[in-house]
Amino acid sequence: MIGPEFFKDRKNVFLLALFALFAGGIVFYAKFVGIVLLFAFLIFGTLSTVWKNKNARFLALALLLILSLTNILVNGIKFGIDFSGGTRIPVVLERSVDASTMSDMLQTIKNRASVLGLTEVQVRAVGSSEIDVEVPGTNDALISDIESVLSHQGVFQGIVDGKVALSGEDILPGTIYSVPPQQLGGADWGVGFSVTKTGADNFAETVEGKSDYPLYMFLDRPKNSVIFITLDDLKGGKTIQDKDAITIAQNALKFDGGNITLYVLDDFNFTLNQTPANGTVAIISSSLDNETKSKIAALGFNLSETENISPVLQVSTTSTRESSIDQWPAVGLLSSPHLSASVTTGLPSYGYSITGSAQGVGTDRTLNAQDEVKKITSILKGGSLPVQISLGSRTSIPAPLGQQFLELSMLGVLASIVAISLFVSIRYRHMRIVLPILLVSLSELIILVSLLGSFTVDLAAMAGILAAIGVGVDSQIIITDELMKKDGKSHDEKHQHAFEIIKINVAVAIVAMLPLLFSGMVEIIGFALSTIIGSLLGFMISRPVYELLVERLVE
Amino acid sequence: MIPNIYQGDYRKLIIFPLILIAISLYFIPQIKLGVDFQGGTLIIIDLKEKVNPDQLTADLAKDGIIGTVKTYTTSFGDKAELEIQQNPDLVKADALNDQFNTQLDATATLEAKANANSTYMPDYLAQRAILDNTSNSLLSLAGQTQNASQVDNLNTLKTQVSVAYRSVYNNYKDSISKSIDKYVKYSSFSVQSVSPTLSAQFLGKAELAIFLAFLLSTMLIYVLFYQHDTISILKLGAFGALILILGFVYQIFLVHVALLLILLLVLLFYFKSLPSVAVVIGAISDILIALGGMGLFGIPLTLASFAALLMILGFSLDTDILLTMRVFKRAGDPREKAFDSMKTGLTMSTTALFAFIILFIISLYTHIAIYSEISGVALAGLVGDMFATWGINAVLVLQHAEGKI
Repeated sequence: MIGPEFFKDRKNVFLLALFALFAGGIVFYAKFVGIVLLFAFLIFGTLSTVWKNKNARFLALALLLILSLTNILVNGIKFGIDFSGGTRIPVVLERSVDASTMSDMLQTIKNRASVLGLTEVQVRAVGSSEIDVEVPGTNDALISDIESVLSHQGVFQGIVDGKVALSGEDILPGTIYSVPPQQLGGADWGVGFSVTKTGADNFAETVEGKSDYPLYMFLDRPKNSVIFITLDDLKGGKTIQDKDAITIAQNALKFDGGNITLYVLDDFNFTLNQTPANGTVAIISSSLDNETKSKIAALGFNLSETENISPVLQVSTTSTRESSIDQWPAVGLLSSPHLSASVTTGLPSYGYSITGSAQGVGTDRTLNAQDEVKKITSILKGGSLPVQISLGSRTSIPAPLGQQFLELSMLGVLASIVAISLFVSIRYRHMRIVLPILLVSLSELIILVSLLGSFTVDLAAMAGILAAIGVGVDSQIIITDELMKKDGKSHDEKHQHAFEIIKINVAVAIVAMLPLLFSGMVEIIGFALSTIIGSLLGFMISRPVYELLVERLVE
Repeated sequence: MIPNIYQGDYRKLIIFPLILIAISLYFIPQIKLGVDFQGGTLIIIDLKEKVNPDQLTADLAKDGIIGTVKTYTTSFGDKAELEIQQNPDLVKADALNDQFNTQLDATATLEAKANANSTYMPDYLAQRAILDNTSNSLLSLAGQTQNASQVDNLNTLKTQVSVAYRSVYNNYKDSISKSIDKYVKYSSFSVQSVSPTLSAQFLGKAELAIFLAFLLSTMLIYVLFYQHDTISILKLGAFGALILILGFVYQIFLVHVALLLILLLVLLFYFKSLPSVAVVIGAISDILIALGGMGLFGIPLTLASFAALLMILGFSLDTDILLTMRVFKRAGDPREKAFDSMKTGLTMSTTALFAFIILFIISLYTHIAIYSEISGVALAGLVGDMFATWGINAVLVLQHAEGKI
């Protein structure tokens, strides 16, 4: 079959090129493998249905099968905790949210969970008011850690010249909004909000006379902490005098409620005037050498390492505004807008807005502006979760139990494939039909499992796989039935007849399940997807296989 | 070899399926709604000691916890499953919490306005009074002091109310675990709660999904089935779109039933397509029998069994289409072709039966609820399909083919 003639047919070359493309995607872009496979399935599937050349059709399918096998071998199959064991923590939202809010929340929760260094945390939406967080393993301590990280609500503090000018509880809930373009007055973005009376009074008093001072916006500012940093890290590559850099750093860290003392490592001799209070945390860069780290620990500090210890400096070129620190994630400083003269008069105002410019040009600039709005909004909300959450009770499935479920389910799948193949052959009294049916069902199984496995195979998906096996075989039954009839028609006519029926069947079976996919009932999407893809596969695969193999067997 | 059942007066074949449907209609009201659709709490307990389910049910009832108890053995020990009905306090708490959140935003906006312009003060005070009322109701449900009006800062009030809301749930869970502690020796238990709002949402979505499934497949059948001219297809498309829009605007069960009936009547009398209508009648009969089976055998209606119902719809339409296509689009004696199709169709049903019987057996052994629900519904539906398609649909189709209707 494969000779020089093979490569002359342009379709074959095209298919091989596509195959190489998808194979590359599967091997090198494991993160997107689900989408890659889906595309491969759609493209190869359509080609195998639409092309007239039987051999080309067969090739398309064979390549799809190889791609699926490659995926399983290289990337494995992702199993839900029902099969792999683990713990599911339901995160219940206070109220239903729309799709975009939900995706924001999923991202935030993933970020929070990954803080603990877990690579295998799966976060999925369940309907519009619940999120399931799944972690492998059932270690109680770890689960409690995750639960506390998840339910943590951040604390927002806006500090001016060392005093709290604005705090999270001063901001009236639901009044934070994105300032419309016509009111921006030249800025790229703006976030407006209203404050309580006490908040307004406190703010006016604290910032009186401090025009152009930075309002240091902290989220979860560390308490009882100090920071050790080198001058290089402090300057972050900007051109500024050493002593100036130190001054503006100390300005950013100044706070009546608890300074964060700055220690410059370059000329530090590792002695202190007093031993630090019990439990004081030293924030250090994770790239320091071990000797320095242990010296700092020896002074009596608990170490907290961070990969990004450098602040983002705003070096001023004009004489009217001083240089200042813009952001310093290592200490929770996320933004530092400057106070305009109008708010520092001493008169309280109840509505404020924070405006700024965005980087880049054109659409980049607009997108960056939107990102800034999201960031500032979430800081003001103190924790960047749009909706309050509470944790439901966890479900733990021990790994051996999950393993047992998996084995039984797979056994069931194989058993039904064998049983069905035998039954159909017996029914049509042609034992050799077992072969194509087995082949088709197994191929269908491999492609289906590979596709689902790149997302997650949970209980619903597994049930759907069994359903797909039982129902996907219908296409083959209809064709076999037609071929077995001794009514003198040609093979082609028989295929035509069979296909008229099969096409409608598959279309209707899919349409009946479609509403489930869009209903937002996530729990059974795996089941719906399995049955739909199963029907499609049954249709796509049986045709070429039957055309090439069965005819020869029947004769 | 079975003789051709369609020889002779085949109309008698319709009697048995109709009886089945009548029996099903009797059992349908007995269908249990699962936790997904009814709301409630499902507790799965790992037992250290065996427990008598009836005794446990009675004991829990004494403590005011109404539910059903099932026990079973797995390879990892004995388990008990408690399905507890929705607690009225939780329902109230959910409603109050939703109310609070909506009122909170309105109050905050008014406070901001009142701060800037004191003419808004009376409006703000009125709204704040409403908010305080709602907060106090929730606080009292949680057994906490009703001091909402003394809380100046809205953010603080919000936190207090959230805490109260969560404690209503926690109190409920505690009371259940205290009860369980009294009567059961266990090593651990897990709780799955579906709130009333969530379950109501699911029910609404499920109902809409079935409506859409029926509507879309009916129209698709008409379009694909005969060589209809484009104008008819467009007319049906427009009519179908109208029904779709009405169905979205009025998301009420009876309205949906009425809309679908209208669609069928229009297909029958205006578009004169008896075969399309016959196909759908066959599918509806099948679903009714499947539902009857659920009522009779106690298969609860959950998200999983619901998904299986839609799958049965698709499968049932498939066998009906097979029959109708063969009878109308092939040359030869209609009765022979009908009988022929029956043999093919029964083969299709049997292979599906194999798959689902295996799934059912696995579910018996592992007690995986999702497996037993899906396989239970599928088995009931497949059996129903055999009678509905070859008893009802075939009779209608043959009568039409022989010019009698």
